[in-house]
Amino acid sequence: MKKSAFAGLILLLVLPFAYLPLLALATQWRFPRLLPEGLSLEHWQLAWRIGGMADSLILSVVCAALVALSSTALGFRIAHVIAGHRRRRLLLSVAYLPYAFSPVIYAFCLQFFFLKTNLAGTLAGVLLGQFLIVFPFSVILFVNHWTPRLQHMEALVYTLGGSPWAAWRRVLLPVSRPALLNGLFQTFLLAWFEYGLTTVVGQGRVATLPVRVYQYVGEANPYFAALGSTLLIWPPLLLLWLNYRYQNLKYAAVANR
Amino acid sequence: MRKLLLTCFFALTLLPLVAGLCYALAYSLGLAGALQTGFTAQHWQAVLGSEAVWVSLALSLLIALVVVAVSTLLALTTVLAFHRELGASRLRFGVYWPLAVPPIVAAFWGFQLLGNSGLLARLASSIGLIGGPEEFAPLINDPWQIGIVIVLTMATFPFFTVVLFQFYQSEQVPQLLQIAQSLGASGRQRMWRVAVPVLLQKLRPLMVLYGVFLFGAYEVPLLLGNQSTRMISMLIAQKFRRFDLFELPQAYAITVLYAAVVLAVLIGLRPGRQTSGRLS
Repeated sequence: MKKSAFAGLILLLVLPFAYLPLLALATQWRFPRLLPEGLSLEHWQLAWRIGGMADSLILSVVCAALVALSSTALGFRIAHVIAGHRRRRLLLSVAYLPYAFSPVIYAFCLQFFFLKTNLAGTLAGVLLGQFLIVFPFSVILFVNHWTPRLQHMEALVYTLGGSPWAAWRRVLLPVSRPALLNGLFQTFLLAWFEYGLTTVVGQGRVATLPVRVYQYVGEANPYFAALGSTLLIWPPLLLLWLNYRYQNLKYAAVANR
Repeated sequence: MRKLLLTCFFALTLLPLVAGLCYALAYSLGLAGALQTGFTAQHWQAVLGSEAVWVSLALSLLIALVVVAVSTLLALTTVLAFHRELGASRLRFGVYWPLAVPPIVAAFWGFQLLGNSGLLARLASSIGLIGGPEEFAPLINDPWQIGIVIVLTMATFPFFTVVLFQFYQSEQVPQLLQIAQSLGASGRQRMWRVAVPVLLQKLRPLMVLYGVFLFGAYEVPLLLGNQSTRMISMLIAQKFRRFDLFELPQAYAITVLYAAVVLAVLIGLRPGRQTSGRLS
């Protein structure tokens, strides 16, 4: 009974991952039918050929990858400084401020500066805007990684005569690889999901996948919107699965030690 | 190097936010922007006297509170009822799946699920509960914002479940429950005096932070919200996007008001406060 209830709950949670691809493949799906009237790749071909879906997919991947890489690298380094700072809590509170703000409202606050610097409506502007949201998150994420144990390991390298370069290259980076991968994954997701700020800063000219999905919903084209949604949810799920497998393997290795 | 990195940190976090808010405040007071007329409080008077603004703020706050409360309740129930399945079942990864759904897709999925001709309406029709789409209860763009609450809860509760289950393991709740049992605590006492307080205390910072996010939620109300009563981010976005330039100072004033509420919550409830480490 309990197992069935749990299975039912899981079924409800994963339902959109089946429903949205099915809608994207449906030739038509009118009320009150529970299943589509037919399946074809017609919408996929159309969206790919004239709907700009391929461009949006590439744009989203590039944007999310660049933002994730830059914010993870800088966030990791700055979190190291903050973790060892005597005003660590105050500095961490500063990182929470932009992260807690609604991205769309933050974007409206910054719109004037983006216009003045000619960054509004450009890819560079969207990248910078997304970075301003993702970077504080990355700092928050990594501050907890810099535990006293890790700081002591670094101190030990210096005590044994190692240079800062040696400490980073031979100790801190290898030890932090799982955390860095996790940070990359989470920052990628944050940038991949971003819609509100991208519409304001990009002014509709930088059409990432979330922007495209909203555009199709507005055009009352549920099939294309479902297609865009499918492309938005399945790649992160794959990353999530890889992350989950990796974490499980790591825990299993620790448990078997 | 440390100073350079800290300067970089402030330049990328605090500086844009403070600059944006200062500009917003100056614009709302007539001191900046294309409409600057010299200092005036008329836009602030209009905003503070506007019922729509207060309704919007109250609605956003209410939705955030309801979604956090319902999600916490659902997550607590799931973790306490299914802790074995969450730890060992082959299906347990399914709880993580909703974490891969962006808000805009959650909103679209909500539209497809709850709409008048959506999946629920089709199911109701197939078992003879309704004759047509018009007979299905309005859950989208409804005056009570039920659709928004359902979709935001569907997006929040799995995340809370994942986090709570991690706390369940890290805080060694099963062991605590066993000790409570050996000390003679009843099932209800173990639940309400041990498991729930331990888990809620750990979840509290996340509840506050998520409440702040939900307060400024944009994508879901954009697709599922009612046009007459809007959440605060929708109200601000609509004022910014109107063709009437004279609405801009008010839009900036509401932005400053929103920032004040967020800051007050963050300072008052301090979600970043260190709560890690076991209860001792």
